[in-house]
Amino acid sequence: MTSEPMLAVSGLSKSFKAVKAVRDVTFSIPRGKTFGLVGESGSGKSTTARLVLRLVEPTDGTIRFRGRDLAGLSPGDLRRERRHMQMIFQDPFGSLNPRMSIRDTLTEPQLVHGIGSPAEHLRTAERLLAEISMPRTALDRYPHEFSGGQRQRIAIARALSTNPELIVADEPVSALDVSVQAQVLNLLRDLQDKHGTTMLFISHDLRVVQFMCDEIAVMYLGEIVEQGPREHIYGAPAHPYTQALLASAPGKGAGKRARLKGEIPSAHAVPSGCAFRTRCPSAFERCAIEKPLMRDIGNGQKAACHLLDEAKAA
Amino acid sequence: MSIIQATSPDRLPGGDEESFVTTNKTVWQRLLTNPTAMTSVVMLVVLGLSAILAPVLAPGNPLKVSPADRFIAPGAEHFFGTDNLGRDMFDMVLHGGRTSLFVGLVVTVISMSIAVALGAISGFYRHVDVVLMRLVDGLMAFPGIVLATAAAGILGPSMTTVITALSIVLIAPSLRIVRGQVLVVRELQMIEAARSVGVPTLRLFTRYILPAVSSPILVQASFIFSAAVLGEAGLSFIGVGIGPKELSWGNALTEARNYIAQAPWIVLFPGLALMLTILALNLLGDSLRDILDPRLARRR
Repeated sequence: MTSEPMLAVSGLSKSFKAVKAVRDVTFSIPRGKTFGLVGESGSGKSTTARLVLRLVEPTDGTIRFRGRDLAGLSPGDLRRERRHMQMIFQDPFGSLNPRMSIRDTLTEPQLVHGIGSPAEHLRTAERLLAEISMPRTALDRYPHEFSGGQRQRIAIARALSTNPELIVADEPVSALDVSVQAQVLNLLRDLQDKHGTTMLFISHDLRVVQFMCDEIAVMYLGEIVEQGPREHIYGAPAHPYTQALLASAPGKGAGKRARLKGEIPSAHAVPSGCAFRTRCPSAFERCAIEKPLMRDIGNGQKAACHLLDEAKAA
Repeated sequence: MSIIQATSPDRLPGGDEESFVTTNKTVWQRLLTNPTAMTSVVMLVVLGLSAILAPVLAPGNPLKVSPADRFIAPGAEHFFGTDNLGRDMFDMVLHGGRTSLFVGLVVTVISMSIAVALGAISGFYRHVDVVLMRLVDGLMAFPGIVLATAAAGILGPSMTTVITALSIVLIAPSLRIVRGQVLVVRELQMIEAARSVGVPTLRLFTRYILPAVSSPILVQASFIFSAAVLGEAGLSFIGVGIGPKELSWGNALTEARNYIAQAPWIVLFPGLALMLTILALNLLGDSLRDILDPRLARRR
């Protein structure tokens, strides 16, 4: 095993005409680890997920996956590479083809990537059903016959059917009832442990991210503002946005720190300097003029805030 | 029907005891219990069979002229009476139906095939769309009757001419419908999911996009069928159709119109056959639209 990360994203940007959805995102995920992206809606998390898989073409940046730059692959090579990187979507009602039986849904990925014979496809499908705790009789049923949680489990089984090295999970439980969320999250974790899959996990739910991820990046208006190991992000958040986000989460910490006011600004008009300054409780003059850079604050934790400079100088 | 096991909500149950949501009525069940749909299907089957079995049901030569038997009123001898040349109207309607329905069927198959193929491409590839849609606009601006008349003038009146002209004229509206549906379907998450799985484009069309747009295509096909039958009758009536030597409902009406006062049955029976066909096809199209619409399905 090399020490090279499974996925290394650098300077990733995406503009839709004037809208800068994702700006200069850089991170890497070591083999077998789970990397979390958190942020409010509109922070560019989902776009980042799609950029990583090149479902959306990046405006700029590199995506090194298994040592190859995905951005440089031809459409055919990219399609073949998809065998090693699969995605789980937020909406389990929309991501499955309603006119395809579960048998076809679970064997199709193997079929289109030419993995094994039809008999092996079926055996894999049966094994996957067992792994998601569903009876074999589910094979001949159609997506509409399942509940949301069941469908999401089928979507997970489909993502695993090519034995991928990377799974990108875009809000995999936010469309599900809270009672079913835990089931699906536990399943994801168990299967990840079993298969040694690397995961990029996206959610707006801080508790879910805390449960799932080894390392976490907090996104705001298309940028990563803080990044680090889970314990440090939750234990000692350095960026005012992360602090506010944690304070807004129901339950622990609520009320102690300043809560977030207002809404995320439009990506059409990103504020000058620090993008967060319009909502930051501790913003000062420098924040409007100069864009804060990512700086290392030890223990693998990084944040982009001028306050960290001031603290250092003081 | 709860799927959550009360004992261990966070962990999945062992397997077989899990229940599934019950299914709704299938499309076939809804079709069989829809009175309008079934009426129209029965009418079409009767019309279709009488056309197919015309040589058996009406074995005489439908074009045989016998001046002595002119204008005989409908009766036991001649079910539908005879026309101005003493031809048996029952024979003519049955044999005419062969032509009319055949033209309708062939035109539907040809124009719908082209419309589905081009419409799917146009809806999916936006740069092709720009060019193709301008061509369709042009085609739609051109009156069909003029095109058909011109075609008949150049190629001479024949069944091939009628089929070609009607097929071309009827492509545009269907193409627009297919394109519009594909435009909606291509934005569905299942398409993005399929791409992320690595499904090749051709399979994306055959397994994802076309099945998703099959309902409106089926509905449109029934309307195109009726438009084609009516179109053939219209073209034959104004004399740029399949030519006077062939039998069709439209041709029968052309000659009959001179004798309406004298022998109304000459007009009545081909006209009735034509009307019933169009009515059945339109009713079928309407009820299919209801049956195949998933939002309406739940109500039944």
